Amino acid sequence: MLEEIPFLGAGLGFRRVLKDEILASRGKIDFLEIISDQYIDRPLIKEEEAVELAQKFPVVLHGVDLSIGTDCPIDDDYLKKIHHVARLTKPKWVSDHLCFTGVPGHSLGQLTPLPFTDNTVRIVVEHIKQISATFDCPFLVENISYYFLISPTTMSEAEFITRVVGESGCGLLLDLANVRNNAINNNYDPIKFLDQIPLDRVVQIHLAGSSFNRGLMIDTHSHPVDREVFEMLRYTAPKMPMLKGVIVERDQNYPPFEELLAELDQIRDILASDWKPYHASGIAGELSKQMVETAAHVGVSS
Amino acid sequence: MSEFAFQQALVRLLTDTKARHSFFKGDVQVMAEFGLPLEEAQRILAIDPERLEVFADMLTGQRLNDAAQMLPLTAQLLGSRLHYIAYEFNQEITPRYSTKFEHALAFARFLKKQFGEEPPSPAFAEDVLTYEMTALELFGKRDETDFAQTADLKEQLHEAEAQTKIVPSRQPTHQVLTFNYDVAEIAAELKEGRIPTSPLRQPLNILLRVNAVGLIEQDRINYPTLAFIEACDGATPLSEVIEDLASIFEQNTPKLRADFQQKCLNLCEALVERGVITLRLSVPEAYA
Repeated sequence: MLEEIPFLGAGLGFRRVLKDEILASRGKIDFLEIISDQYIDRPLIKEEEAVELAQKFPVVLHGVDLSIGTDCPIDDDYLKKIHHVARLTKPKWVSDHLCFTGVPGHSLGQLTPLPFTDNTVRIVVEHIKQISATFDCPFLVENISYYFLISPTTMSEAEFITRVVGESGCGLLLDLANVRNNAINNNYDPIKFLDQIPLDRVVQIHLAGSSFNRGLMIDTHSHPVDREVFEMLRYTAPKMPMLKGVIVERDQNYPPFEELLAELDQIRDILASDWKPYHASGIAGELSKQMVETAAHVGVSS
Repeated sequence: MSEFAFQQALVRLLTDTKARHSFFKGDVQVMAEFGLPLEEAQRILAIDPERLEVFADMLTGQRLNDAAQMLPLTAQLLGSRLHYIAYEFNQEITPRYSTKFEHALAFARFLKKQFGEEPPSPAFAEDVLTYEMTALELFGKRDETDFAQTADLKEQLHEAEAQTKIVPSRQPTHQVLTFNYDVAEIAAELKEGRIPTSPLRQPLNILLRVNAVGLIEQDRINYPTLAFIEACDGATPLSEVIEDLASIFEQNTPKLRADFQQKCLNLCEALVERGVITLRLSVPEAYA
């Protein structure tokens, strides 16, 4: 499935408050990442928004509540709702996080870490296989920022990610800001971490800005992407043959929109110089073709 | 080995501040309440308590953001005070909800209780909260319409005997409210980013409903219509509803009563046609 997906380019996480500017910048944003939870249990008008976005941009769906690490069956009802949004938007892929977000009857609404153990690998792999089988597009898992460790840990996070991706067969959504945050919070070298994970399974990258709070680097999505995170993209780019897209996440403290677009240009510059497939794909021409294909795919004449 | 019990305990500790603090102080009684084997309890105690506290505070902040998204006008009015109220909410009530929707509703009800104990500033914030809270409640009931017997019984509304057996009930997707301020005007200004400085204080009766596509719609109604809809409690036969309202509105002569009854029946018919009221037979009659 992944081989058939073209490289999408540099995109933005869609945020309602930026909608007008995003729609006005169609030529400058290659694709959008839609938070699937924003379109679940909402009035129909929200579904219409999702369809509108999918008609105008290639989209991918990103969820926050599948809780694949909870040691109990996946919430079927929630999964069906994700499927409903997927049917409306026909995303290139669907993703969620390598974490747990609650137990039945008690949702935390926050990405909570898992212990890095064989048992957790087993739980997560089983869930990923189950979820992946229900979609007709790829399913990816994302590494999270974690602020405390849960014992016992019988392996490193890098080994944990490697095993989950390897044994489930899923793709990786690599959040480089989260890698940097975890390295700062747990005092290790992020480059060494990146050398230990299967970069050849990375399908999508997240970039974001973080902020310090009470001695911890928190994944706030509230600041420009740090130079260090861009450098990590430059470092990993040559090792990611399956890369299909890079998204900038910004949730608050919004700058002038041109600054977000400038971050996308910076991504393109890095990939143009450090990611071989960028030029081979003829990305500029490809993007126009993709937009026409996307429009036809969701039933709209271009 | 199941991880579930550990995850359940961790989730509870992250949302129950008092239990978390007691647990990490080694309060044996609190620890026993969790029913965890010693090894699992030790796993929790091995977590860095300061970092866990930071994460728990992040949870509270996220919940507040989610609630503010679902109560945007109230959040706008209260501004930074919302954070203090959210803190009190999390201290007093251990949030344990399946969805963000349920959490937002619980927070709204807590706010309403707070406003009852100490009137808010501005005073119209209570009306705005009531409006948004009701809209949330109605959205949660959007699939609960019931028309099973209504069409047949509507034809019998004007028959005296039928009126003693027909029980009208407000549809769960509708609600009537009385406000002290013009909430529609206040909401319009808030949506423009302006906090009203001196909104008109006048009684306003509104019929709120959630439509088939999940949108909230509203109509201004007069007091007699509001009183009629409120009286349709799903337990009182139509004849008694009309009788009770006639007394409230002091329709004290036979002619006045007859006219009033006719108006009520016409109103009932119109409300049934608009899907505001549903009709069923009283229970003994249903089984006759």
